[in-house]
Formats: sequence, structure tokens, C-alpha cells
Amino acid sequence: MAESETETPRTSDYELAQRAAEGDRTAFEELYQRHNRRVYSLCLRMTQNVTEAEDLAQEVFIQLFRKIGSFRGESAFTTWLHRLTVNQVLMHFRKRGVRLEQTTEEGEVPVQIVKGTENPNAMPVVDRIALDKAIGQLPPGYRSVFTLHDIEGHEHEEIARMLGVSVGTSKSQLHKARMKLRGLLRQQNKPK
Amino acid sequence: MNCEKYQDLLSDFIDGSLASQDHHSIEAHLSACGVCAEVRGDLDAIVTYCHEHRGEYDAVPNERALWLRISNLIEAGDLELATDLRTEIPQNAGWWFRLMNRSWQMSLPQLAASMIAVAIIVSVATMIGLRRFGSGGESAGLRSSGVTTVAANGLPLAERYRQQQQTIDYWNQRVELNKARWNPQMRETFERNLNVIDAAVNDSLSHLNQNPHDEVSEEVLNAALNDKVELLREFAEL
Repeated sequence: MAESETETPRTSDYELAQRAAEGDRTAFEELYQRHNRRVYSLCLRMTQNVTEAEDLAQEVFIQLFRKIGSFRGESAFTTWLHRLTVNQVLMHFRKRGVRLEQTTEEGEVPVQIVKGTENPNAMPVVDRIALDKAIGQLPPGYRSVFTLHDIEGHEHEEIARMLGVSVGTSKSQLHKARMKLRGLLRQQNKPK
Repeated sequence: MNCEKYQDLLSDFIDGSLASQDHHSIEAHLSACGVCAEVRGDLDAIVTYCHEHRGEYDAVPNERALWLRISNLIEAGDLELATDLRTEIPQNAGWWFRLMNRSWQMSLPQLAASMIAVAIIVSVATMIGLRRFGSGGESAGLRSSGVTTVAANGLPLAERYRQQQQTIDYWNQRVELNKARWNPQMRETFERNLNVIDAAVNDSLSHLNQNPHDEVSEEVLNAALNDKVELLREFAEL
């Protein structure tokens, strides 16, 4: 009785990956169940488009199936999968002709110093819907850096490597993204 | 420093990545300037919200349907592989027999693409032959390195890298010849793009040194090298 109450330890991602690499489809499905939300969310945050995000998530799992044999467990599975996903989204941007490097110029809406307003509480309480809407209006390069740094928690050095830009560019794009978001959130709060 | 300069440093201030001197200087400014303090408060709110909600994921609109799509695509891929393997050829068969007994199944677009590829290869080979015949110079040999890269699929990574490097060296020489004619802006654009690509190449190489089986890094390396060839080619022709 006591035995049946003890929980069976959860199989690790690494074990599942090994089994999947040997052709165990159930193990691969288990990996999908565990990580599909993480993959989809990252795609959605970077593209801000539900259909594109779903297609990209699909492509990520197809790639994962093809490459799972090359996962040796040196890093966490989630880190490896995360890199695969970011790479897939960036390739998608490249195919679409989005030049991440150029987005520095794309944020041509100058980031202006906002003069003190009459109402010091003009910045709305940040909420998910408002923030998602504002992130959707960022140029792709800013959006990628903001997503990877502030939402996913990567360091600038990692982001620079992933996007193929300098650390300085990553920092500058993050700051511009935050300032632009601030402006957009304030705009959303303006009485119509 | 004016407010604009202070605001430029606010993200680094919030992330705690400023030198202590700058940090104190901003702190002092923020306690005296309401406008900048307000901007700092707003940015802080955005960053804090993101930090607090890290790890929350959106659900796929139809998780099961997506899995079925993925599963079907994987199975379709497996089936293609199985069909390829089914063609039975006697073990002692010669290469001609193997070639002639192989089943070739191509769709119309694939057939058209193959024909175009054959036409391109023939034209390039003719062009190279003519140039080599005409000048016999080393530049003709270098030009052919581009073809080597195209035909290099399936080679080991080190060999592929070496061949791509040859192509890069060739275009680099062409770029160096033209560089003197460029204006400063063009030179700056070229250097900036080249630095970005080189950083990606170096990063992929260091990843591959740590893990030679990392296919993601291999893919990134290939893409970066191709980008480099494209960049050099574009600027060599300007």
C-alpha cells in the first residue's frame, strides 16, 4: 500500500532524449508534452503572431526529432532546446528578410525625453495584455533583445552571440526597446 | 551630463551593470530630477513585471492538434526513408547496376530544379574552363573555389570550412582591391557587418570545439560563413 503511494521518480529529459534518439516515439511525445508551451511561448514572444508561432513550434519539434541524437547532455535539455528554438526563429526572420542588425536604425521613432506630466501616475500599471500589445509594436530586433533579456533572462553576452551582434548593440537595443515600450504603454493609457 | 545622457544610462542603472562612479552620479541626479526619476520608475515597472512573470508560458491554441501535425510529419519523413531503403540491390552489384536500378521519383518542380541545377553547373564549368584557357592565371583558380563550396555538401565540417575559407580569401582579395574607392560611410558599413559575422563565426567555432556534435552550432557556422561570402561578394562588386 505504502509502495503504491510513493510517487515514481520523473524520468529526466536526458533519459527521454536518449530513448527518443533510439526511436522511442512515446519518449519523444513526453518531451513534447513537457516543453511545447515553453517553445511556443518563446516563438510567440519573438514573432507576436499566433500562426507563425505555431508553425515555428512545429518546425522546432521536427528539428528536435532530427537532431535529438546530437544532444549529449553537456548542458540542460531546456537550454539546448531554447537555443534550437531561438535559432529557428532567427532563421525564419532571415528568410523573411528581417535584418536584425538594421533594426537599430529602424527604431527611428526617436526616443524622446518625456517631459514631466501633470499626472505623475500616467504610466499604467503594467499588465500582461497591455505589455503584449506594446511588445507586438516593437521592431523585430528590439523585440528579440527585449524578449531574450527581460522575459527569458539571458545575459547580453549570450544574446550578442545568438543574434550575431555586439554586446553594445544588444544593450543599446534593450534600452531603446524599454523606452519605446514605456512610450507605447503611456499612449495606451491616454484618454481617448 | 544632461537628462538625455542620464536617461541613456538608465537601463544599465536598473540592471546594475554601471561602474560605481556612474551609479552614484545617476543616483544623485535622480534624487534631484523628477522627470528622470519618473522615467526610471516606469522602466523599473516594466522590468520588474517581466522578472516576476518569468517562467509563465502561453498554451498552444490546440496542443493535441499540433502534436498530431508533428507526429504525421515525422512519420511521413520516416516513410520516405523506408522507401529509400527498400530498393534491394545485390551486395556484389557494380556501381552501374546500382545506378541503373535505383528508383528515381521526382515531382515536376524537383525535376525542373534539377534541370536548372544541371544547366548552371554546365555553364559555370564552361565559364571556368574558358577563363582558365584564356588567362591561365591564378584568379581563375580562385574563382572556382566558389563552385567547390557549392559542391561541398556532405563533406566533413573541417574540409567544408577550409573550402569556404578559400572562397572567402578570394572575395576578400577582390574587396581589398576596391576598398580604396569606397567612401567612409561604405567602409564603416562593411566593417560593421563583417565584425558581426566574424563574431558569429568565432562563437560557433568555440561551441564546436567544446562539442563537435553540436549540429545547431554547425548550422549557425555554415549560415555565418555563407553570409560572409555574400557580404564580400556584394562589396567586391560595388
